Amino acid sequence: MSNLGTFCLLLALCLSLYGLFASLLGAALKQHRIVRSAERAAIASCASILLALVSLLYLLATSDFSVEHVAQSTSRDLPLFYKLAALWGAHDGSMLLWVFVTAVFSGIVVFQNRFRYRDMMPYVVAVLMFNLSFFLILNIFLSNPFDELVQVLPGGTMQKFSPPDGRGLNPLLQYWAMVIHPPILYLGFIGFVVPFAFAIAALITRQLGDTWIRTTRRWTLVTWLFLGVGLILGGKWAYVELGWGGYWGWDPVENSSLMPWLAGTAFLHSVIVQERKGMLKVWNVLLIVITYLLGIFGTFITRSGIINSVHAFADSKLGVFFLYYMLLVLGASLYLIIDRLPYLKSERRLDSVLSRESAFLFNNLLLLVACFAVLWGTMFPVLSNWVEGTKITVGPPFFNNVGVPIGLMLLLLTGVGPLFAWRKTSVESLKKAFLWPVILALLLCVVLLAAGMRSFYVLVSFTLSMFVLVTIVQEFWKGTRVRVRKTGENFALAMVNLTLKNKRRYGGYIVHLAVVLMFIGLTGNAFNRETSQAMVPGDEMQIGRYTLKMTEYHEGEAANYQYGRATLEVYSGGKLIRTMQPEKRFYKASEGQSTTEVALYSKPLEDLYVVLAGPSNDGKRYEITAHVNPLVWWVWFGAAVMVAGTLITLLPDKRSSFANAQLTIAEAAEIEMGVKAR
Amino acid sequence: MLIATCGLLVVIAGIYVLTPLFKEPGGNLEVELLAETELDRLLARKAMVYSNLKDLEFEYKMGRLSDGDFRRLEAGYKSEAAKLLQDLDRLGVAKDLDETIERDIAARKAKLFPGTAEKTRRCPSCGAESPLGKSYCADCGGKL
Repeated sequence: MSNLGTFCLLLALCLSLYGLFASLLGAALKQHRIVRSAERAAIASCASILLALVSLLYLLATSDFSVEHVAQSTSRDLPLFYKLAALWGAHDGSMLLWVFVTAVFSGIVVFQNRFRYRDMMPYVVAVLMFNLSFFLILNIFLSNPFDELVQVLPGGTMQKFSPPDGRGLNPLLQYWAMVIHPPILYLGFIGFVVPFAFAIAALITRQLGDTWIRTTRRWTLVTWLFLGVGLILGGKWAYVELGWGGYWGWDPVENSSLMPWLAGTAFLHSVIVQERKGMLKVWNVLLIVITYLLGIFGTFITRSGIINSVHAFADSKLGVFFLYYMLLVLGASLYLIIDRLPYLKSERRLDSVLSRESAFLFNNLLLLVACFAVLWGTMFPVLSNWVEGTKITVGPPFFNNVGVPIGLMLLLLTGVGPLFAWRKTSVESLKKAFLWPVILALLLCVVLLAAGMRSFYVLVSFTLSMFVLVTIVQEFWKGTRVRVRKTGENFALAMVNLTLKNKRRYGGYIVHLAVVLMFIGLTGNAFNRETSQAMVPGDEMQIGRYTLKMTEYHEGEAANYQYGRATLEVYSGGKLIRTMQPEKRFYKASEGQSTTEVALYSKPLEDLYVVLAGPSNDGKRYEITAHVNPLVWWVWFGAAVMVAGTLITLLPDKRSSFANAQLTIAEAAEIEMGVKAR
Repeated sequence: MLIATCGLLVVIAGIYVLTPLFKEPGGNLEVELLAETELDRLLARKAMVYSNLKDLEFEYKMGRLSDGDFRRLEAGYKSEAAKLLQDLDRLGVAKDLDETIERDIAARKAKLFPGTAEKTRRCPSCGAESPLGKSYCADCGGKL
């Protein structure tokens, strides 16, 4: 089975290399049949990788420990679900998943566009196959999940060898969000290859209108959504499984998935300016190149072991290949962009600073500055090692000091940007649009000051959140009112129809709303409290408005781990509100590695988060740590709203000749009359 | 067993990938033909300007723009739209868009697949092209 797996990967590599050269040859000779053959190679290579994936899943499910990957990342007592999920529990298998997702995306692109963009497609296929071949080569020759275990016998002969049991899946990964977090994040990292491929094809064929942007808009959005959901799931996992009380630690690997997300967010915004105004063309091409490379950079950081992180995927063999690949892609893309500059000329210039164009531009700059700051902080250990010979790690304070002001400015733009008019906004218009948001935001600020709030950033964050919230509500309110007047629908229906009629704009507003909600949650961090106490049953501890009374300590055993469990009664205002049971687990197969199972009582206002750290030094007491984390709930709720908003923008439009502009034929005709009447 | 399976996979993949080289009609990839035409570009820009105009009007009705801003922006978009309409006129499009598109498609088809182009016949009364085999003209209803 393992030989078959390797063979399938080799076959896929041959097919993708053939696809790469055949598509370029077909384009050069203008031979449609060669391009078709190349496209089929892309689909066949996807099928071949699927076969390899299935064979690895089979090996995992049947616990064939002669295969190194299976022996390293599963054990016999592991539930089947986790056995299969162990596919991405170690480096080589996760690379196979990466390759598989890449191949599936390439296959879908080929199929979707089998009749469209015939002139661009050969180059799109070439870029996709180049990307796929690179990862296949790494997967086959440097990090093969089908490698078998060998034993060196006395006398130097090698012999295949199959241990009686495997080492087990890292217990930290045995959690539902962790099981789906890597595949979802991969969908996010990898998806940017599609807009990137179209951008390169557009550069090569000199078709630098907004075709490539319109074609890939959905890809970009879906990819961005997956990356965001992946980030959030990672945060949720850290929060519930790592037991340190937080959800974001500025770990290099977290950062490496945040960076493409930030760049992707910038890209999603700046393409609007190109579609609407024909500006920022060079910028958009550059931005998608950066976003794609940051995705690759993310895997580079995760896999090269260049920086220490909780994600122990380190395998230094690979690092240098990633580096060469990134340099090659960057060099080739920059050459193409510079060579095609005459085709990327802007159709107009920026008229005024007080315009929506410039708001978009600021938003882009801020997002990229944020991205660069994260990159700088992440790479600092490496850079300092080069310069000074010692690895200096930059901690969360650096990221918070830089990130918080940038984040707040972005929040401000979230409210301001959409209310600016294109081209130029007069002070009069600004007054009309911003009167209520400013009044209500200032009012909240005064109330908070009066209530004794003195932290500068907290005040600014809440004030801005209020400001943005009011602008969004106002947009929906005013828009709906106009629609009610025009159509006579009732208010609720009019609001729904308003949203569905212009999904991009109002879906976008819902995403902005989600950003506000998440900021509220993030600001809650400023009020986190934490206390620890060694307890025995009968003891009480106090945190915030809660009294925790330990009633029991119990030890037991499950299929693949032993556990100790404390039972605590939670009282608030003298009333019993909840019983909580934090756990400590010791996994049998993983050399006794332990995990903490957090007990969580989550309310919109605050989370009570209780951890059993283990027996105290004398062994007679149990160390309990309790955290009160205000407003965390809003981070997860905001994330859900963000998903909903993005899905709305993704809903399909009714097709019409003006589908791109979201106009019906009748509306277009009406406007045309108006134009001609001039 | 393993070798047989691998051999079979290679054969299947080979047949699947190489068939188009021999089977598919040799319709050349006419890059110039299928590239975005001037017409496509103008129509896309027209659609965009129209949608900008519609948004502008909506935002004005929402009370977000001052009268001055609205009039200035509207005039800007409208002159842009008028210029685009002029350009489209120059291409001879504005009169009947459908007809232009039909003609364009027929031309592309004829160039791509010379063998498969539909044969047409000119109507004696109005001069419109109708497919062979039709008895009456689709345009004027006259007998062919």
